[in-house]
Amino acid sequence: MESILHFFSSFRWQDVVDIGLNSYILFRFYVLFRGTYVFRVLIGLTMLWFFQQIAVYMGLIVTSWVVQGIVAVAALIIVVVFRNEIRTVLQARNFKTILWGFSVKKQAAPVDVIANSAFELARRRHGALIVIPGEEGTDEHIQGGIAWNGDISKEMLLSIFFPDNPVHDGAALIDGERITRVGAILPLSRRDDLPSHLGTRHRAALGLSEASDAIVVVVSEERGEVSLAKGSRLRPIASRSKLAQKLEEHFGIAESQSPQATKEKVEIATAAMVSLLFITGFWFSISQGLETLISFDVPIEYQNRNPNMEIVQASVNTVRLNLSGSGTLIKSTRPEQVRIRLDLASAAAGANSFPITGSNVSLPPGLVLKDVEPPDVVVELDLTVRKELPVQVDWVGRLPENLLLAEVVIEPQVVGVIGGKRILENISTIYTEKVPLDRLREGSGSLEAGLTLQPASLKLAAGTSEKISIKYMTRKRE
Amino acid sequence: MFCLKWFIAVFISACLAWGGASHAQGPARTAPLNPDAKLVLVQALVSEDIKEGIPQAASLAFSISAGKVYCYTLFDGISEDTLIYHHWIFRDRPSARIRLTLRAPRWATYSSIQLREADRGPWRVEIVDAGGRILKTLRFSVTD
Repeated sequence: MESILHFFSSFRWQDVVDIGLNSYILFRFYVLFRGTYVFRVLIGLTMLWFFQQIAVYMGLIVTSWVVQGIVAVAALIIVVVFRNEIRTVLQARNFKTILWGFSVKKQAAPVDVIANSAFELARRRHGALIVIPGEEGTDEHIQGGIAWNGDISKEMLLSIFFPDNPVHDGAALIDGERITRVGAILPLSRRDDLPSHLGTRHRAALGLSEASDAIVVVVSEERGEVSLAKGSRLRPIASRSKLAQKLEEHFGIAESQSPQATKEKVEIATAAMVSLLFITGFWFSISQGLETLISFDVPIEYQNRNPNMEIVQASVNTVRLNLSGSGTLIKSTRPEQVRIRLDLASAAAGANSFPITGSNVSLPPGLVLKDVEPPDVVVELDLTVRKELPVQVDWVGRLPENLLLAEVVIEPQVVGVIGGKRILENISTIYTEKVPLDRLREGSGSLEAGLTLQPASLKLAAGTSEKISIKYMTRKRE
Repeated sequence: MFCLKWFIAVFISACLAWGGASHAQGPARTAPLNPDAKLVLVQALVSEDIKEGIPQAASLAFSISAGKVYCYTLFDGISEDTLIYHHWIFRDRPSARIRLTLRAPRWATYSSIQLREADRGPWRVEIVDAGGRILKTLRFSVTD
């Protein structure tokens, strides 16, 4: 009982959102891809993954490696081989349909007339394509055609698809009780898993239904069959009543009474439930496994520093964080996902102490901060100022015994240096890099040398040359 | 007679000063420099040696093997006895602060430091009056 209470107390609202969101994504994948080869292959891959987990659990090393390899390669193959299907689902449909679309057309059409006409055309073996749009527009997918704008009647449909009619090869578009367009050209489905006996007319019907929420009644010229394309499915329709029922379902007229609709609702509900259970199980397997401890040495990042101040010194550059979480989460955590950010907005010049707590540590979800070493970081800040400092040559080496360095003139004699105020207070000269005396010759000459800025936080002011020129004069010893 | 005694006293004092006998680090016997006085630093240099009050081998780079470095200063326009200081600074860290006495009307004086192995690097000597004003900064290096 206590463990159950502990479990619920450790269950965060983010976890509920996490499970819910991923369950819905999985469910939508089912809704969008059901009936296609992609879905079947995905199911196969999922089973392979389970098989691999079982192999790992049982210690079958080679089997688990092989299955893991197959899964990895298969995932790549899916993207390549089924790119058309995936593109059709993810790009051709609008955003709303992808996220939550169960489209139901509100404006009813005379379904009996359409059903009777379709079967009459089938009896006469006259091919036909009748498009009944859903909520989405179909204009972007349909090309050509002739505006018609005639009331629907059986005679009208029979005459449109009469073989001698110039527009009989195209599709007829129905909007409400009117035929708005005839002879329209539909996009062809790119799927390669369609039976070979289906011709261009069926491929066109499926092409439009895949790309939109329209349904397309297609009458086969060769076999005298009536089929209905909806989504990615193309189903033969056996009778007028069945077709009428399907059309009514599309229009939302007889949805509640239809056993088929009830069956579909049950199927959708089952899919939703399976998605929820699957994701919940998956979530528990990765987030509630055996607790593991791990340590990360994390560099400290500073933000909101006053631009007039600079960080002179910090007591530590990295902090060791001891984290706990499930073994799976710990294994998948990369060091760059663990960050420490200190807000310097309220820091003042001088030493500032910051405790390292959960509020300034960012961790991947599911990991818990157990301990911090050291618990505090002392950051020393200083105001940035500019100071003019004289330059001095740092001679090294040795002059020839008979020479003396009589005179040195450097240009510029003074340089502007930018750095921390407290640092610059203790600096009164900028030295050059080491200049060897043995480079000097008797008489006079000149050379160049760079400047050495110590500590490295010092910078030369804008416009200051990093090189100085040195003019010298030597003379002989008397 | 009084004039002769006064002349002899001044002459002896001058000789002592020019002979470089003192690093003048004894207790102050003179008043601080009057800011209105026109003290003029006539000459300032760093040398390897000073013989008979005259700097020898003035240079801006000295070998550590020389063992000693001298800072020589000559002042004019001294209205009364006053103090000056030679601040010896090695890489921005003060190394020695030597107090020297100047006597009217013209005086030369010097200070020196003993060189050690760790003294290689850039040096400077700040010549500072009694009021803390830097009259001149001499820069040199101690090398191999």
